[in-house]
Amino acid sequence: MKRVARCIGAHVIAGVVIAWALLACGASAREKTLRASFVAVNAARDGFFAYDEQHQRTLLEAATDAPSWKATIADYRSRREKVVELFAGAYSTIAAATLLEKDAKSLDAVGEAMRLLFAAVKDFTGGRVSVPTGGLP
Amino acid sequence: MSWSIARGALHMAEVAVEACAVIEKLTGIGGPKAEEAIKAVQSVIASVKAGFAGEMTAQEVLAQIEGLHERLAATDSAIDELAHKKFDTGGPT
Repeated sequence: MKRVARCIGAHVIAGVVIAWALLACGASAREKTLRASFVAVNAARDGFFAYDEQHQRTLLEAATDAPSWKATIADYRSRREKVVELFAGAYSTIAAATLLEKDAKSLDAVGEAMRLLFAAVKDFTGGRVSVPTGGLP
Repeated sequence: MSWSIARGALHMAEVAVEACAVIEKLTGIGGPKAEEAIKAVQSVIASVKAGFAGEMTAQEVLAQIEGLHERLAATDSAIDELAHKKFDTGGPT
């Protein structure tokens, strides 16, 4: 009976170690990737906020009359909306990937959304907002 | 590697530990050392379970979209006010 108990105990410990290893090597890596993606998008967003406010102030200072100002700011905000949609898309794909634990392709979708977003931010701000250029999922 | 395999292994370990605890109580086999070992394994299982609970939530991520729109709307509003002062009242920007 002692041998049986020892045998069960050894299997229990092995099971826990296996479970721990699976968490550390598999899901944990995925979780880290998603968290890193989330942090990178947040950082780009914060830079984008600063650029947006400063650029609107610059446009306003340069404006000489109300009609031209209205046209200029409407054009700027319309172009900005496309970048905002890409931010929303990046956040949505990260959120979906946190829910779709078994779907390996959801990480690829996060990587693609981030690539599109960072390219758009770089283009829109003329490179004034620094974004990651590599290491995406 | 998938979460389902890890969850399965964890569940099997949990069941086996409970079985060991019952055997130890009923038969007295193992004594205090076995009891300590069982408690140690149970605490490891609790830690692993806590790791599952610490996942990043989708709500946490999606809340950023709302915050993004709110922040940009606040900036637009402040700029519009400055523009109003500059063009409608001749005030400074």
